[in-house]
Amino acid sequence: MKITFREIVFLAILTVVYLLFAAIPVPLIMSVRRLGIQSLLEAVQYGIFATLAARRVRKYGSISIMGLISGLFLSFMVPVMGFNQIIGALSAEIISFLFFGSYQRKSAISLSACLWPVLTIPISGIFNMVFQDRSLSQQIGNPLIFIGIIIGTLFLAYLGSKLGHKISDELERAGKI
Amino acid sequence: MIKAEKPVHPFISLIVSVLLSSLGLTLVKERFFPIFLSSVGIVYLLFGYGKVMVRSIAFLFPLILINGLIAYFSSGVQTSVQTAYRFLILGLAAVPTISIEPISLVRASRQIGVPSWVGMGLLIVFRFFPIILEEMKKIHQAIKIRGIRFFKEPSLFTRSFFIPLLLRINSISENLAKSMETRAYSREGQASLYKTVDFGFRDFAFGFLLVFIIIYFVLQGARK
Repeated sequence: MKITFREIVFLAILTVVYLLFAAIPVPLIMSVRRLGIQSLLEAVQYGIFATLAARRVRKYGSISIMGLISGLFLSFMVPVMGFNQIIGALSAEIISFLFFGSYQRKSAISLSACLWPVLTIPISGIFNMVFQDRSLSQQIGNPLIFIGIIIGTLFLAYLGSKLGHKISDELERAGKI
Repeated sequence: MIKAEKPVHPFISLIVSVLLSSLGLTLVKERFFPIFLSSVGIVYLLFGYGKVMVRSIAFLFPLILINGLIAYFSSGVQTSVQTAYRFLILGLAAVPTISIEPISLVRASRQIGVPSWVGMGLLIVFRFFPIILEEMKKIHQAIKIRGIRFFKEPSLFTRSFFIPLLLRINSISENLAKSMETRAYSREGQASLYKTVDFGFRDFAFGFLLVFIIIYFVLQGARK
């Protein structure tokens, strides 16, 4: 199923809202150097808006389009962040597609929404290794804390996704989606 | 977007920005890093990016200061200076890209065959920030008037904020899509370009100078 032009317009405007919410923890994010903290602080936003996007446009590609548009926008400031967004969204949707095949089930949407922030972590790690000369062990620090960060990211994204579903359910009842 | 005197070709800006923010970061521990920064700064000044550079660094200044101080108290002077350098290079790397005019990026992308919806999405993001912010302010004011506070009733606050916001987004996107359709915009079919964005000598000189500086200093670092 092809995503229509009207749906792209909606996704682009939703991306604006997502970027505004994602900007809230940015000052904190820029000062933290531990791998994964960035995704942890953004996980709720990823969860909410990815879910809202996929609930309104129930087609694979909706979250990737959001990732692409937000990624292109972010690449104006920090190109790596943009690259992160795009690859993260795309891989999350591919994994969800392999498991579910369609967005008809809410769990398929939640899976994409939860995986998106987590899948941005490896790219950040690779970037830091290559360009900031910081080994993976330096970035991770205590492995238990790192695992905690990943679980925390998944949990917060899940909470965000739950909230996204709740809002979408209300809009669905009102006949708006 | 911050307006530069005469921004260079969008693709050159993007390439330079990617190289600076990636390769530039590998040089922060080198002694010659201030010389590298100054060289980049001089090229920016020569090409009319002075104002943008000052604004970009001024924007990052509080972050540089806070993180520099944190690094100073936790790890000493050297780490503190390197932290400041990291922010500075990110600020400098952003200079050409934040000066790109969104429409020229879209036009240049269309010229190389990037689907028109990608450019359209990007333009919407640029244009709709103030509109969506205004909508959010209005919704927040309405919530405040009704006496709903986030810290007292987070669930009710979230519901009263997001649902009207999404309804507004829905109606804005519907109106925008309709108005674009009436102007014959569609995903299918060929569309002509109103203006083309071409490479000029100035673009080439800007790109060449900066790439030369980056490669020269990276090689200097590698030689050690």
